[in-house]
Amino acid sequence: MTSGAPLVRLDGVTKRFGAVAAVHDLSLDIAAGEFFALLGPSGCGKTTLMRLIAGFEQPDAGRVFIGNDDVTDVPPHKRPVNMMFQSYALFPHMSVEKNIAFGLKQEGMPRAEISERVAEMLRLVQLEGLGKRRPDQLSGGQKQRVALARALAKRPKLLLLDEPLAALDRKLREQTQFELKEVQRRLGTAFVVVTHDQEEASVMASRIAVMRAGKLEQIGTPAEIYARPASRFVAEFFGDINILDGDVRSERELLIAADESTGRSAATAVRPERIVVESEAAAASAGLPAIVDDLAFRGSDTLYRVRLQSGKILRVVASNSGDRNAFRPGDKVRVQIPPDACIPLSH
Amino acid sequence: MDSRWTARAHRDWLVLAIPYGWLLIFFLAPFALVLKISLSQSALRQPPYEPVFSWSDSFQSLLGKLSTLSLDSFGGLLSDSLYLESYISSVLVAAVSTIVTLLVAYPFALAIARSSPKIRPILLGLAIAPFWTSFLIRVYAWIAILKDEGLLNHFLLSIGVIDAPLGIFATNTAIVIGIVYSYLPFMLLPLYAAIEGQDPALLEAAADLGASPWRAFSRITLPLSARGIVAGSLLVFIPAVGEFVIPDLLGGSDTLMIGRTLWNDFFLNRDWPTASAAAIVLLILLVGPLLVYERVQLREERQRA
Repeated sequence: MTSGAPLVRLDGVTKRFGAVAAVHDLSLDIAAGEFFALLGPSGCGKTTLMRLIAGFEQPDAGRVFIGNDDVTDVPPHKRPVNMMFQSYALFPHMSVEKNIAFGLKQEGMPRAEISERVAEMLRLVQLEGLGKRRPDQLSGGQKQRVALARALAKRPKLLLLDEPLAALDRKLREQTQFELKEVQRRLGTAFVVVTHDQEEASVMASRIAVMRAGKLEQIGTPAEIYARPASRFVAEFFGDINILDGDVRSERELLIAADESTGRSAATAVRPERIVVESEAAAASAGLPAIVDDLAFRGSDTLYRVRLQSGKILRVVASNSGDRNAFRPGDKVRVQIPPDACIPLSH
Repeated sequence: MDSRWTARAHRDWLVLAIPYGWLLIFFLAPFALVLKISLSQSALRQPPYEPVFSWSDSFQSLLGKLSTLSLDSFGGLLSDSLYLESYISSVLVAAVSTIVTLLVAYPFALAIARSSPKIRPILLGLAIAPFWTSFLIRVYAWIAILKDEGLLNHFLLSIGVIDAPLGIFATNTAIVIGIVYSYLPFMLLPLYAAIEGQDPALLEAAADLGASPWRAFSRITLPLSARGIVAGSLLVFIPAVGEFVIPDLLGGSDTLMIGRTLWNDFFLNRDWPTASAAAIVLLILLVGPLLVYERVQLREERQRA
């Protein structure tokens, strides 16, 4: 592979199931060594997209390239990528070692080398000593590690992970997110993870593609997508947000310069932590009059539901650091939205 | 003791009593009768053996009758090579039939298990459909197909594949064909269950790791269906060994199968003790494979637990 060529290139790929296009005319590059996330709600086509890369689905239109090779018509067992399945798909009649060795045997690696590599993989996923166990003798977290070790054993340039943490409980999930990141960094393998969990994608991935109805809505780093969601869908899907539309215009102080000047913005998004709430007494005259409707103490911050005069409810997050006065339900307050916190949404 | 607990214990006991009572009446009692006859001597009377126990026997005469029981009939089985040959031939025919049934049923089961879930019940129903007509009629139909002037030979002759009839009717080949046909569903259903229950992602994982479709089949699908193969094979093999109707209708006069030999002893030679002894030996012969089946089932259950 020459440098410069992306590791994976999808070129105008379409995949239909019956009348429904699960993936529609989608183009995407994935670079060597990056941790890439395909993010979207269920049914958005993210899993189909991954299966197109692995070769389990054939596109109805478009091409799939891995390195410089057009692999569109190459069957999965001849593609240089490996996949970790959501159900793990561990072979129940084989020990952990045999599961990990399976791919190596298929490529005809000498026996001694196989056992060396298997031991190395068991170390990598911290399962030394469990090699002789069968999958049904493992916990969920251990199975997940075996699946990871098996998929990495052939040292693929690209590893596809289908909802890798979906079957783990919450606490284990967070720990595993960081472990996956660590493994990815250490091996330099490109990881493409499919997930419906925005937080999971943000924690792990260096780049995220947000998908909706078979199309890409936005690609960018987690911070970019958070700061500048490209659409209302992305804004609502990716993190907590207030969407202000229509009725905003009636609140004179809220008229947003950018909105007026471009004249094409249908809505404006504001992240809850960018909104400033002050008590009516303390506030300078600027700001919208509002009433605190309810609040939720969340440890490091507090979430307020603030009702504007128009009846619109804003979600506001205020940090609990320092000695700022906490508000109570029914308090009269003033709300300020800094102009640079307003994200114009085109659709 | 808590009365509710006792009531429950009674109920549990009842649940067990029904199947075991069934076995006692319909299996153990007839078996005891056959065992007793096998220890008796053949006699020209009705019933054709002695001694015959009766409720009115005095203790003395009961002892006298018991002392006449012997293993002579079992000895007779050994001295007459007919029985040994019948057993060997039965086991061979049953084994060949089982293997052929497996080879025919596996692709069937695989195809049904891989078909769309909507048409699976239809395909399974079609496979079982022959059971809706009489077994006897279906075996008779095979006579019309296999005999020298039958459908098969007629067809092959007319398209010029053969010059003379195959002459497979009244041979062991015809018996194997009959058994394979008749017992196919017994192989098909356990195979289907074992294949259908496999996670389809396993094959994708195998392909993903570089296994060709054939290797994925031989390394994943086949070993994971071992339970179905064992169950189906025993369900075919065990009844096939003692099969009587198929060898009688499709086999030749020289066909030696234990079911037929037994029948001859009972109804032609009226040698009930020898026939009973042969039946008991057959049962003992089949206990081996049955134990294998039980062990496989037990291991399976323990693994699932």
